[in-house]
Amino acid sequence: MLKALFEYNFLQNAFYCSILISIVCGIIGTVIILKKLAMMSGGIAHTSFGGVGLGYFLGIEPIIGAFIFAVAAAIGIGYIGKKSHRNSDIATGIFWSAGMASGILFISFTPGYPPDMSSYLFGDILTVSKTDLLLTLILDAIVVFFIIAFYNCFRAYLFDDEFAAVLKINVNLINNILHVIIALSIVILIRAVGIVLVLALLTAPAAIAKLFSGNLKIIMLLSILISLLLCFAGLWISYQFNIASGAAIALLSSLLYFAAHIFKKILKLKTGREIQNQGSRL
Amino acid sequence: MNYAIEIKDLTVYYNNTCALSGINLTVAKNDFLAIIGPNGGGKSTLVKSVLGIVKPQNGEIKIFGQRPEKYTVPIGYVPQFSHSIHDFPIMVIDVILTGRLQRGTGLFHRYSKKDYEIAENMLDKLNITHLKDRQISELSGGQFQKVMILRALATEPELLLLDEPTANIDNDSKTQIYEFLKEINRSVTIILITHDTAAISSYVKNVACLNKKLFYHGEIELDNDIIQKTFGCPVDLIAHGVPHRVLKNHGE
Repeated sequence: MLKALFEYNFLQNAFYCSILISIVCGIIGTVIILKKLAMMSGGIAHTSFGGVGLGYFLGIEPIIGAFIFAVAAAIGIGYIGKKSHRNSDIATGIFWSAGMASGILFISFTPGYPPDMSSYLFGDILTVSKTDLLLTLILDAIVVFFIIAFYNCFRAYLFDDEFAAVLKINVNLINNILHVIIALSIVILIRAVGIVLVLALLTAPAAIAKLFSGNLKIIMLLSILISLLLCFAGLWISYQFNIASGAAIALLSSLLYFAAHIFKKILKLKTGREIQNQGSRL
Repeated sequence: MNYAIEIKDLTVYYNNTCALSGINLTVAKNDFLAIIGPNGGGKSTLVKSVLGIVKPQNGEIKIFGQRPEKYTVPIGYVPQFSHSIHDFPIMVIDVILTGRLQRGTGLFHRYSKKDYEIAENMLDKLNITHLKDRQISELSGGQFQKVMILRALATEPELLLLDEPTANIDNDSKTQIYEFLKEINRSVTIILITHDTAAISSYVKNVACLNKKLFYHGEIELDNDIIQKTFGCPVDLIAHGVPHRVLKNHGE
């Protein structure tokens, strides 16, 4: 495959894309698991399908439609969650279905032969274009800048937003920026792993990293590495065995997540036994 | 007259549920006030209104004579224990340092040497310097609450609000925390939400009984009638070391 990597342009694009989306996954994924926004992210991803449909219907680039729908969903779910003084579970569910339904509706209204939606639903990292790469690169720059520039405030907000608000830090602004960034990240990831499978790559690396570190910075860096590993492995499997790349990456993510949990359990049992042994020797 | 807090006709609704109605309360400077009352009686809501987290439908709050938006000194706040906070990957020293953040913290902010000094001094005050680099998820309930109190004090407040700081923690930590609060009360006005009647009798200066309305505010000579009104049923309460044991049946 290494030789092919140098020969084929599409493999090079997939390789760069893996690196770029891993940076987003590591950072935003960590935020998502710490703020328990996994379901909201799933909702945003599925709502953006409506935007893809609208894009086809109006004859504009579907990914732009997806951007608009995802940002609207992120802000909408966040707003309803805040207003109703409880979690945004119901709003997430409604947006989720309504987005998918409107996507299907728009496509059936689109004249002519229906377009193939599977690359949006299940992703295809092997077909990313130069434009996709450029968009991802811009998003990476925004995310990395935001996190580094506001790290202290941002961590205080993630840790305890109420206390941050008491300190008169503009929590609402951080919250809105974060929701928009999550929405943008999801749309970027759709190209690689698809609407249906995006959640695996977004949550598994960060969740695995959190098992092994208690430092926010290290969790973010570690999940970038894990995500990179998953993307490369998925890419390789997909190339070697001619399997859909999105499915390979999502399935590997889930497997690694369960493996990491079991590994951690065994590690705990072992150290527990060692402590017991030391205790009995004393 | 120098009041730390003046509350006039405060009314708070959550959607259509009334949480607080017509509260009038003044808290003197350097008071140590305990707010007691049943669950759902609006204790946390009152504290959050003072903090500006909850927006009241009606009424006026003044902190040291100023409206909350104008009052720029940070208010020390110790929230109710929450698991999602306890699980967060962050070290003790970093938690206390967050108390040094302020409005308008700029791009690429780094904590100053002074911030670190203040944070480390804080650890010293409750003898938990050895926990400095520990993950907060590894702390016991008592240790965790101490860190939360120190974070609130790192803001260098004139006013400290605590929401059940000693719920579910061991007696040693409790005593330590109350002794510490008593000490800082010399310079800081303290308002404490608690169910801990023993603490009320030995550390607190005044008591407010809250159940949607304010039923009593003053010194700790509570009689059964007020307790009955606040809680809606008789409760055991120890005041000034004299047990007022009430063994009547519930009125419902």
